[in-house]
Amino acid sequence: MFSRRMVNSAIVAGVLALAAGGWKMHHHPPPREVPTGGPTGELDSATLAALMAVARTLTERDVLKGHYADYYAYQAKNRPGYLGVYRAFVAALAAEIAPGALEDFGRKTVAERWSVLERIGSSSASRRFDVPIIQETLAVFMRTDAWLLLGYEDWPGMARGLENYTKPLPERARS
Amino acid sequence: MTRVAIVGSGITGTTLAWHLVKAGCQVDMFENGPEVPYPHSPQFEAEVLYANQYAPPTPIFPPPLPLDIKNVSQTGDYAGDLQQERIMCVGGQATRWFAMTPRIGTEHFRSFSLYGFGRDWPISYEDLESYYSRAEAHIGVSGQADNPFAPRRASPFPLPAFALSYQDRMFAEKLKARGIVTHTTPQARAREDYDGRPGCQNFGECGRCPVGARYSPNHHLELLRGSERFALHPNCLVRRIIVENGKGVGVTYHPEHGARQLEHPADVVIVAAGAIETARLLLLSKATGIHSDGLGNASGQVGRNFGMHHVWWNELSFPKPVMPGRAGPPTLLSHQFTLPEKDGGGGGMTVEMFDGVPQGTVLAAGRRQYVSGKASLEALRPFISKRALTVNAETIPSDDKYVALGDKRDRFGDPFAAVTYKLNDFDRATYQRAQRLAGRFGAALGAESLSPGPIEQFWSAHHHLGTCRMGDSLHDSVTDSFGALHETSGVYICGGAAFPTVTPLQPTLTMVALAIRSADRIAEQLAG
Repeated sequence: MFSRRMVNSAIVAGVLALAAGGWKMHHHPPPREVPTGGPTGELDSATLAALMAVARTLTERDVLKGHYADYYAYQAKNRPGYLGVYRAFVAALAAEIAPGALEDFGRKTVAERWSVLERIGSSSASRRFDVPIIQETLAVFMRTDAWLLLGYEDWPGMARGLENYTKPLPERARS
Repeated sequence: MTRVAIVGSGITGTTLAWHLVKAGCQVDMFENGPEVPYPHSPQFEAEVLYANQYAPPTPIFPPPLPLDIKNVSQTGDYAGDLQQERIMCVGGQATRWFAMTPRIGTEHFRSFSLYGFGRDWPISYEDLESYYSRAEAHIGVSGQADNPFAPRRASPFPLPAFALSYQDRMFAEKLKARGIVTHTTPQARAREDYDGRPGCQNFGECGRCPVGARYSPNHHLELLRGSERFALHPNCLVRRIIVENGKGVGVTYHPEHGARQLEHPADVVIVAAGAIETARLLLLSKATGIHSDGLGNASGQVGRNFGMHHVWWNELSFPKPVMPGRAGPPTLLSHQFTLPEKDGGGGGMTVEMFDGVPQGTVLAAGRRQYVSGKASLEALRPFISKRALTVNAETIPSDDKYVALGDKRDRFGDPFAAVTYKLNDFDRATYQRAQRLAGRFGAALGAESLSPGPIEQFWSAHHHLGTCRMGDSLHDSVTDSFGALHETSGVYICGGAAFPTVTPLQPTLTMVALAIRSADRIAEQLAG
């Protein structure tokens, strides 16, 4: 199962959860389940909004500059099975929060969102979400926003021009 | 009108088609793989921008061919996957390349005479110099004459060079202080708008250029589509070269890989299908008499002398961040060591400071499991203090490097190619030299550690060469220097298959130069 228990309960909440670093790993890596079959298609705005809220939760960033939304849309459109998994995940998300309150998920605190994700991850059926939701979102982070946090002005894949790379990077705090 | 059939739509076939159409020939080009969009933005999206390292490694670009259409078996020491490396689509291998385009040095055309190994080419650098200039203009090479080890050139590069990165300028100074000379990289990547292609915008991933700044054969194929004298046949498997009375007169092929077999008559047949498939087609094109073992194979040379580059990746770790990945992959390199060492100390090699944080590195990091953005960030942080140092080494043929027909068969019952490739003593000595050089570079640059690539983890760079080498004699070569088969008129072998040796330099510019030379020759003969 992809889920791992938070060190701290969701009720004790945010600060402690963030300090613990997020998801807790199993002692043995769970088997990877990658969507392999199913329809492809366009993501609806509600599903996309929920996925983006998940991305902000996982990366612990309020503002994301990376192309997470385009990534999700691309996988849904081009890779069989992703559309269904995204929808199933958002349905699981909706089931964990107050009925009809999915649209409010993105407005919850990080700690509250972590708590919801943890509850989803605790279910035995959640293994299918580990790769396409959790790990891939973090992979997009590592290819985009993480570069900015490491001190770069941009990341490979962007049209970066032919001048900046010949100059030193501006000094700024690297978090 | 003279009819020319070209088998293979890669950079060699496309260069030939372009020049032969301009010379007034009717050209029909046969490609086993499918059409792909150009510019290659869908490839860029699938493999870079929205790359999914968790999904099965089935390539989206181009779509995979059925295993009973494209297949190969391999034995020996090469850990890479030749099936994956051979990109079969319209445009071929150069739909996905870094476009590094050095000229082969004067000495490398005479390696046997000068150094006692390998083989002399039946052509000199001087014979090829003007064709190199035309090749650079054809594919738009950016560069500058700052390489003291490059052969003499009669004309400037068509486009200005890409500047060294900030970090590479500092590296260059450190290396210079320790007696190592570096220079910029000639590359078929447009520094500014050129021939209808946009100037580079530094997406950082030259192998998969989304805008066409990096040359792709599809640029010229798109232009050729407007000509009535050019026809492209994708998804067509060519099964045989037809020979009558000692002359090539056409090909047989299966459109859309279907059961229907057709004949296409031609005055000249050119095979430019890469070293492996070219050898296979010749071996399959058996006939009576001297062709009983395959076309061009009267002396048993077809399939022999197969070679690949040996590229070893080393990882240098620095005490402070060096911030790799800000420019396109190749910026700083050294051709100081392209000549072999004396007394069996190994072959020549180029040494390259690869600037791109390799996608593979980031992707590999991403394949681990992380629990949060913070943990992911910390996993990535060490990479800003690392640089890849690659060596691109020459190799020599031996009896254990060859292509033959294997046991697997295609849907029409023809055997696929089988590749045997085993390292020899020369290769091992060259690896030792590569490690010595990597250590020397690391020390000069102040690296605190060096992680060398093991000998068995060499990469071909998709440079599959030889199998139909050019030479002066029917007895030890397959073609003359123009690619014409010794034993049969009207059939030409062009591209990497005709290379007599695997020099340390990237081969593609030489393939284009030779193709232009062959096109001139063919047009001249057909006109005469």
